[in-house]
Amino acid sequence: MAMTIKTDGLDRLGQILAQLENKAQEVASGALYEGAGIVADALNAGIRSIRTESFKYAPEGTTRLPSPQEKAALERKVGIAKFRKNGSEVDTIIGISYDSGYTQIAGKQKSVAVIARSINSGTSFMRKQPVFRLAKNKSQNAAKAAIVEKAEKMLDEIING
Amino acid sequence: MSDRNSYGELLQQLQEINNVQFAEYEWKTRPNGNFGTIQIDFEAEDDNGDDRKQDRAWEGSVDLFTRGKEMLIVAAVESALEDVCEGSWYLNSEQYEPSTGLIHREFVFQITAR
Repeated sequence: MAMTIKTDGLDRLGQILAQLENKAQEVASGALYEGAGIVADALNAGIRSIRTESFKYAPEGTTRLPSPQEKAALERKVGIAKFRKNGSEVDTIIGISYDSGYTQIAGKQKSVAVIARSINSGTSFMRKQPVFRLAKNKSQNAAKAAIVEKAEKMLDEIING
Repeated sequence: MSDRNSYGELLQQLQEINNVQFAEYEWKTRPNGNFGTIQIDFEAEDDNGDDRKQDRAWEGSVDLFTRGKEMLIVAAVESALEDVCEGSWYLNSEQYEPSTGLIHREFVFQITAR
């Protein structure tokens, strides 16, 4: 006895899978945008919290805090880099890149990236305030959760129309 | 993370390293030779058991300034971190300061605080 088995819906499944392949980058970018925003917010808050002191010269033998101008340079230059896309892989960098340029402080050109590094890691003349590492620590779990939530929402929209 | 470690134990081990001037928390004196400091910055994730807080974990850093290749001092700091924090530490940055000739190494660790 011959038996016919028929399944419905495989065409629809094929369409969804084809769509997913095409939209993988869009989903990854959308989700990363959400996560990057959370990390960037934490970093901005961290930079605003940097303690400063005004000085002409730090007293001999003592360390100093950053000047208000150095803090302002960081506030101006912090940002999210353009997303790098490679298939379904999308990544970005948040913070201050080595392309951030220079700022004029007390008549001298200073690299903003070097100022950021001096504040974050400290030097023999500047006390450290590790705002970048702390911002990453504080925001990474929230960012991961936001990325997953956004990706699930976007995939749900694709699958269920 | 080790369950027996403590900030005090790490501090004590670091202070016992020879030929290093050790300053706790913020260094207000400018390093002029072998100089170390330790600071706790951040409350890391908790160890939870059955939804009850078991241990509080903290993240901090040890900053070591040395002049020249003082590898014995570096090894002693690494040994103290390994002993107290076990695997929960890493060398975050290493930078040479041309103006002072000092090498600045920054170690980041996580530790349980009780």
